[in-house]
Amino acid sequence: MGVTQGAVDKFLITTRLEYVFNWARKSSLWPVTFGLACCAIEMMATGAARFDIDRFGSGIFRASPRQADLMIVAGTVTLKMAPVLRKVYDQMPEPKWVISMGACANSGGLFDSYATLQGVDKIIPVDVYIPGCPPRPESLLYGFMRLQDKIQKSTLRDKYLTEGR
Amino acid sequence: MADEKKAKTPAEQVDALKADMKKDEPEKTAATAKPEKPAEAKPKPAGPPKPAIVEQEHIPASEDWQKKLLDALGDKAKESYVASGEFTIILENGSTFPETMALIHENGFDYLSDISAVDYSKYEGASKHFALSFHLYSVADNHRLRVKVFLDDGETVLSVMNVWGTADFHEREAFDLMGIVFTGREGLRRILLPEDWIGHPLRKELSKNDGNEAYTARLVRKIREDA
Repeated sequence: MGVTQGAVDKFLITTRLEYVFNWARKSSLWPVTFGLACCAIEMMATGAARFDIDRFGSGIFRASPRQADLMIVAGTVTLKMAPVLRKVYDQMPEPKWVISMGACANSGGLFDSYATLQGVDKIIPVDVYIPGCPPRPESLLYGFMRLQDKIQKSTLRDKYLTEGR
Repeated sequence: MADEKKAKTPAEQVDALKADMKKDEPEKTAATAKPEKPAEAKPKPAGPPKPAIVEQEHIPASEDWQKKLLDALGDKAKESYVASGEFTIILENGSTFPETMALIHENGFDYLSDISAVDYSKYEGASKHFALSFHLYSVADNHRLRVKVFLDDGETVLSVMNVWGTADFHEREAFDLMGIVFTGREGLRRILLPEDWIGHPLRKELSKNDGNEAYTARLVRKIREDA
């Protein structure tokens, strides 16, 4: 693909705008700080030097949802926390993604009780689920890379398809 | 007035919750009714036996400070014994209850460690529905004391907040999770669960997830309406 004129080839790279956008988005995902329970410790380990999520351009955990485009729900979501979580999600600017980290965020985990939300996907859309209790940092990084793949494959069409339902 | 209204709520709230769930979610009741029917049918032939109340051996009070306290209380103490090494006094629920507790406070028990509420409704031979255990401690003498009060469903108990200030949070917790209503005090509201939760989850007649499902359904509905 691209322009085939010899002179142009020497100093121009041609591509699709969508590809560049997706590449830029996946390479600088800024997560919002949302540690809720023990999973947050693994998330912190992922952010620190040994596992180093900075390798993916994603080490900047923002304290404000306004500056973030990824939410890692790390831990047990209680019913009292659920409206807060939804509010933080709503405050994030588009485009935004969600990783549900650990058994509790996925399904309530072992807390099948009166106080725990049985899966964070009841209140916000989730892109990647990471199993584990808690997941190792490698698991989080793997889930993170799967999210990057998803972002790279996404098109503007997806947004309108999902929002049209 | 407010107290009388509140006094009726815990028992009625359970029914109200079930009625509310039926009203709000006609589709869901169909789903929930299915597991209920076999659950009701099964226990009748099989009949899981009610657990009996296992009681430790009751030893009469022997130590000096125990006798001294019992003398001070006189006939206000309905029953007293030492079980598992813990001195226990059973009091009658009534209008003199806070005064009796104040008397215990004057006798050195200046710290209220905890108030625990027990639901005896599923136990064989239980005289009343609930029991409240007040766990007291004397800091100066290093003595511990349990004070028990038995309550029926819907029966209210007078607050001991004027005797021990810390009773505030303990009483709110007992109200939040068990629906025990304390009268003669201000601000008896939920402490752990969300304000708009319906029911009291640790009551044995209610499945522990009924309130959760109803609350989550309401939350999801609200989020959809806001969006």
